[in-house]
Amino acid sequence: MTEPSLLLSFRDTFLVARFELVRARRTWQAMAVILLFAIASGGSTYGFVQILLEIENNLAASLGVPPTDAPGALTDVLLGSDDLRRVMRGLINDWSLIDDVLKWPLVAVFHFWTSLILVPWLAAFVAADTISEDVRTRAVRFELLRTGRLELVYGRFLGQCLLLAISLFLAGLTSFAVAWWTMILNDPLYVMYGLLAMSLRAFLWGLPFLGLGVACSESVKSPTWARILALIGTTGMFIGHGILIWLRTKGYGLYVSPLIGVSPASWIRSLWAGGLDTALAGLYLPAFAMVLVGLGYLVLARRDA
Amino acid sequence: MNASPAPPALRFERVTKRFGKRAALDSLSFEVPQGSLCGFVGANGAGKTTTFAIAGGYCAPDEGVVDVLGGPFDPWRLKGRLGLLPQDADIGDRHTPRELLVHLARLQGMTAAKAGHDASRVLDRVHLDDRADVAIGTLSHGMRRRVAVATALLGSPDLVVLDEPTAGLDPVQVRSLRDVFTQRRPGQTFVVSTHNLDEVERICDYVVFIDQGRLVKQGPIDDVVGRDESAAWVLGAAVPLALLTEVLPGYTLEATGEVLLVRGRDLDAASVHIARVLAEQRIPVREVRRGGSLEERFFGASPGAARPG
Repeated sequence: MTEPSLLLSFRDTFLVARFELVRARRTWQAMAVILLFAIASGGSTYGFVQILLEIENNLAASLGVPPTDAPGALTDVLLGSDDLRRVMRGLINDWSLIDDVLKWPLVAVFHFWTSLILVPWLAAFVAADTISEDVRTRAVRFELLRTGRLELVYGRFLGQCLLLAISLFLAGLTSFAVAWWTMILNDPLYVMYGLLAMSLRAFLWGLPFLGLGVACSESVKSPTWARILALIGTTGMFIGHGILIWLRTKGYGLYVSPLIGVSPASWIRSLWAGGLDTALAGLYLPAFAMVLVGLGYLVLARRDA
Repeated sequence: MNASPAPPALRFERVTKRFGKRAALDSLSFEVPQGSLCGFVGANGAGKTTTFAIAGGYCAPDEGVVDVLGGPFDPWRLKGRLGLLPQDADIGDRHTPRELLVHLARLQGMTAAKAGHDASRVLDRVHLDDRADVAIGTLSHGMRRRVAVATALLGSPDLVVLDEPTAGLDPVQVRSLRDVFTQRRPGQTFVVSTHNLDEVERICDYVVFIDQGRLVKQGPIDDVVGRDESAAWVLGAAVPLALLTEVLPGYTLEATGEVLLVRGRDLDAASVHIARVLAEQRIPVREVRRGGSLEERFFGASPGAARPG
């Protein structure tokens, strides 16, 4: 087969990605993803605000000042409180990062924490039908006549990435709206900035699972099976990570440490940490996702479409 | 200096494709000359769709060689040169015909402006210009089929392969699509699979018969139906066989009631003599048919075609 120029290959990839967005715009898929993220994000932010209110009122009682209707009135005191630090310890599971994390608006921190839990499954689930559905209905043949399979799969992956980015951005906005409505925001712009920064980290975190979903979609013709495989794969990644950590505690560190480094879950700390650590995660997680998509491509390239 | 003959637009050589134990194509060989309008004929399950899927690179053959416009299928080499309508591929319902066509035209290498222009052109050609901007999901089956045909016409490719383009269309839609095939540009090759043998006989100049994954017959349509081999004259009275035998030595004449069957080398010359004798005898001519019908040839040549699919 003729090797296309890099420019032509990128051009086709972007064209496929753009059309993926055009298709998503007109379907339940985009709306469902955006709504799910927005509802989950807005709802969890509201719940978190209630917890803050509780903590602030406990603080107010201990300080002998009147309780407040809206959290945020005692932000400075709250940030130094042990109650909040215990909550944060529960969220990020790492004492050494708490001071760095608490520099961010609390709502943004919670938004990222929620995304850490929700995004993998949602991303994998939604991405799982991006190719399998079109192979099943043979709709994919119209594009495969005109471009390479590699460009098709990476184009679809890129389209799904853009969809995820839009969803997370809108979810961040929803969280901001809920916080604006329920809290006293001393610095709304800073909260907005924090939510955007955390949305970007959530996006990076979602990429490996998006890649897994696309890989499953490349490997089987049935969208249902692709979704099931993607969900099993996502769960398996976390279970596998847990087993590797356990094996390390049992003295097998020499063997399992390289594998732990590969596991996306081990990059959560880097995403919390900020700075160079987050930048490295920003390189590693997309690369990991692209490798998964590439592995799926090896299956698709040998299959009848 | 002798010009070398143009390579075929599409060539299959001993191509075999198996799905499990069943061979959909069994050492199939055929050629479609450049510039022809080729009817690709076979019963259901004969292997037409598999043949087209291999031509479009969707399936890989297990054995054999496939040449599409001078080489194996390669989306980069064939960008904009091959248009193909898969038989049962869904065009989706989430976007509009224009969005789909512009996207595919751009993948063929066109600029945005040219893609928009060409999308309008092909939509006009399949008479869907007034539905260009509605969601495909709201279109009827026939309209969706025409959008799918339009995808194969984008950029006026050198080779257009259409798998049952008229399936499920009403007679008006069939007629409008027929115009699309017949008004092709010089040098452009069309390969059209259809069950409508009358249509193949009327519009195609080349035909390929396949049955059970094998080639049965191929060639120019005149050769296949034997237009230069025999002529049947349907008369308004008994055939004056003795008189005709006298004026047509060297021809084989058979009379069955009021039908005269003539076989020989120069049927045009024979027709002049026959017409003269019939005029002298004041015998009216109801119909003259050159060769057999494609349907007769199809059923005669394809053992599998006689069985319901």
